[in-house]
Amino acid sequence: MDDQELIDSLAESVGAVLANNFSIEEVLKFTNVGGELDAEIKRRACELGWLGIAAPESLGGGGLGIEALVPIYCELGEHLSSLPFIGQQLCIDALVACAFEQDGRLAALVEGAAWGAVAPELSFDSAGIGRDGALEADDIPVFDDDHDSHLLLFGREADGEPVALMLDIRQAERRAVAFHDHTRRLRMLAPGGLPVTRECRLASGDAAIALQTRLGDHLALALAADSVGGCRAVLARTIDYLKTREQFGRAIGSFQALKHRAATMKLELETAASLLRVATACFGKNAKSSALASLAKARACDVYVKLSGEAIQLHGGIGFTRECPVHLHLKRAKLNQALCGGDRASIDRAANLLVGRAA
Amino acid sequence: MRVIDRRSDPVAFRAELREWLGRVVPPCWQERMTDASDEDFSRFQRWWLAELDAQGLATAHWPVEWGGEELTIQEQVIIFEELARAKAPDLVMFTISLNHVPGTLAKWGTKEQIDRYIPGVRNGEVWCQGFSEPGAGSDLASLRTRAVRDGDRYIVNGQKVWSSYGAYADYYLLLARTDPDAPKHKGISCFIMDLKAPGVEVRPIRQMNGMNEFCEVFLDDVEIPAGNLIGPENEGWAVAQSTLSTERGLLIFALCERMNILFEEQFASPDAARWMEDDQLRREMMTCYADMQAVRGLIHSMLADHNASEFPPIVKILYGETLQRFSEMWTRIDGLDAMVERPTFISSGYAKGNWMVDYLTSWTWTISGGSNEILRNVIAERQLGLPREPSAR
Ligand SMILES: Cc1cc2nc3c(=O)[nH]c(=O)nc-3n(C[C@H](O)[C@H](O)[C@H](O)COP(=O)(O)OP(=O)(O)OC[C@H]3O[C@@H](n4cnc5c(N)ncnc54)[C@H](O)[C@@H]3O)c2cc1C
Repeated sequence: MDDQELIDSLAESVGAVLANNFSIEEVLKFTNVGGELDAEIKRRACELGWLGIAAPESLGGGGLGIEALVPIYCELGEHLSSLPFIGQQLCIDALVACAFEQDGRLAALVEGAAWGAVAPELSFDSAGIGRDGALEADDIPVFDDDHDSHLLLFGREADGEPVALMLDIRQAERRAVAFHDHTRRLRMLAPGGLPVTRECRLASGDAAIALQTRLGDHLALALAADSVGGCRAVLARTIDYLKTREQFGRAIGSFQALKHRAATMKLELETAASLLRVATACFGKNAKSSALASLAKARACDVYVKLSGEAIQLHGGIGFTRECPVHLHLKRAKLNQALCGGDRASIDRAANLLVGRAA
Repeated sequence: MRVIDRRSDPVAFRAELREWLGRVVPPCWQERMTDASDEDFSRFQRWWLAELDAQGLATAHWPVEWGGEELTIQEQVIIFEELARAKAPDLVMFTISLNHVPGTLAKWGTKEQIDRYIPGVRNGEVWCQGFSEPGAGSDLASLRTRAVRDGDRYIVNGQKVWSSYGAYADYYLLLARTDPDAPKHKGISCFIMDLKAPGVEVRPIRQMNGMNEFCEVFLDDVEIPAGNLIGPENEGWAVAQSTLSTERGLLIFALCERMNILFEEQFASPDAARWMEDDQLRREMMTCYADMQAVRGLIHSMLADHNASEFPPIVKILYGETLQRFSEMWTRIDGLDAMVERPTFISSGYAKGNWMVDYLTSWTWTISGGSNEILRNVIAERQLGLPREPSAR
């Protein structure tokens, strides 16, 4: 098997597991009445080796890159999965990029013995280190549950030097915050006051800046992929409905007004998906590839919001209920859009990068 | 002297109304109504109806012989502007009672029906609308709930859905099929149905905006006295047209005034920097503002000229779409913060400032009571004279 075949079959198998055991109907039940779905999917992800896909082969990983992760992010988005895969992969990416291959944390993340979270803004202004060596930071929203052990965070040393940190957050205070998106678990984490030891520091100065760029791109692609996957699901569901729901003695999808709406949804989805592929193919190269990652993120989230809104409208009264999963997509789309500083920040980042201006 | 009695002098009327609202609107009613129990919500709505009624304001839009005031447009404008400025509660629970019921009975009701039911509306009886069914939404005329005449009563069986405020309601404006053999528009009748009657089961449906304002209603051998038939038997389609065309203008007008106040507060607030200093947001904000002013203008024209029959579908589409864009824009201004769930209170779908909830709720206006797609068909076919869709029955 060449790499592409391997990647395709991996994504396919992830998709099959999700479709069979963690379908959107199950997610809907989970968001409405609770249950163990989120713990269950984490267990399966460890068992099936999903976590190590991009980790070095020496650690039992798959040795693949972002091009293998993106299709999996898509699958997880398509199934509205609660698996905190993105934080985990960013933490793994950071450790590998900083040559922490021998680090016990990496092995634990790959096995699923530890879980990693990431502060979604990835800004050097989100944290500082005091003279006493303790972290100074506001509370941060993270996709995390009470078992998370590592937080990837950017900040500044007492002298202003940029630094990339991986903190042990087992002792950090966290409180559950109810976000509109019920498909994923978010916590407000209060990392302020945590000790910043030598091994917390992954990179400093230019190396930290380079890591921030890399992870910023990675996060942008991950959220874009999550959104593209969500678009696929929401479009498929809508098309299904347009074919089966009848009014005026015919399938509503036979009204040209609605057919064109569906066709426009398809066009928008394909635009977002194409942009995602283009950006993924050149990941990590230069300023242009970073700009493309940001544009892919902004576009995919925008399209995801639009498509879910259209889906509600085209479902009529049913679309307004909690029993119809379409609103879960809209809420997830809106949250994806708000992450990384929101749509305008992503687009401005791209413009600044392409024109060669400091943001 | 009631507030309404000042109406002959617009300046004094406005001043008196403002002063009165300042006195009676409870300062933190939004907080009190946030996550309120059904009983608290319903008690509060009834209290507010009684307060407005005591000042002649609740039914001021009604004809004089029913105890209304037959206000001029200018007077109506003053009331809505002041209610909006005072951030007074809106009478959501009574939307159908105060608007659709009189709208329907004025044209079709018998004297007995009017004498029997109209005073009850003023006293806080709640009505809801039982038109839609699982299989009959946009194609309302395909409804299947059956009403069979049996001596001096009708026996009703079937299922209704999406009945707003059904859980609080006393009476139902019901559409049911009385002649299954007639063409679909010709075999429907409209009834007044007691929702507390035996055989009625009302089940709230959970909505995506966190509320459960609409209900499924199951009807199992429910008896309706024959005297509760509104209009002639099998003429229910025409009756329903009066219900549906009930001045939505007034409702939307009241909501637009609330949106307008929100804009004005924003313009005056230091918070405005958040969108003023962002080129994109500033321009989007101004586009929304222009849309909102256009809708207000259309409603003014519509209310002033009863021949402006083209405007109602236009107004409804524009209001719904403006509200959707406006609240969506605000979710982007507030960013991550807007994604955090905050408890909210029930309203008829206007901009309350809990942006994600306002955004979600905005689909009420684009789906219910003639979806935007159906209304666009109406504009295209009935107003612009374009040919009908092939084979649409
Ligand atoms: C919040 C809310 C409150 C409501 N309150 C009430 C109430 O109190 N009482 C009551 O009786 N009903 C109520 N409704 C029901 C409402 O009137 C219906 O939902 C509406 O008429 C649409 O019907 P439907 O849901 O069956 O959708 P459908 O008719 O199945 O429509 C599905 C989609 O197809 C589109 N469509 C259908 N036909 C055509 C066509 N010919 N051309 C182009 N597009 C078309 C629609 O626009 C929609 O996008 C409420 C609905 C909502 C959402």
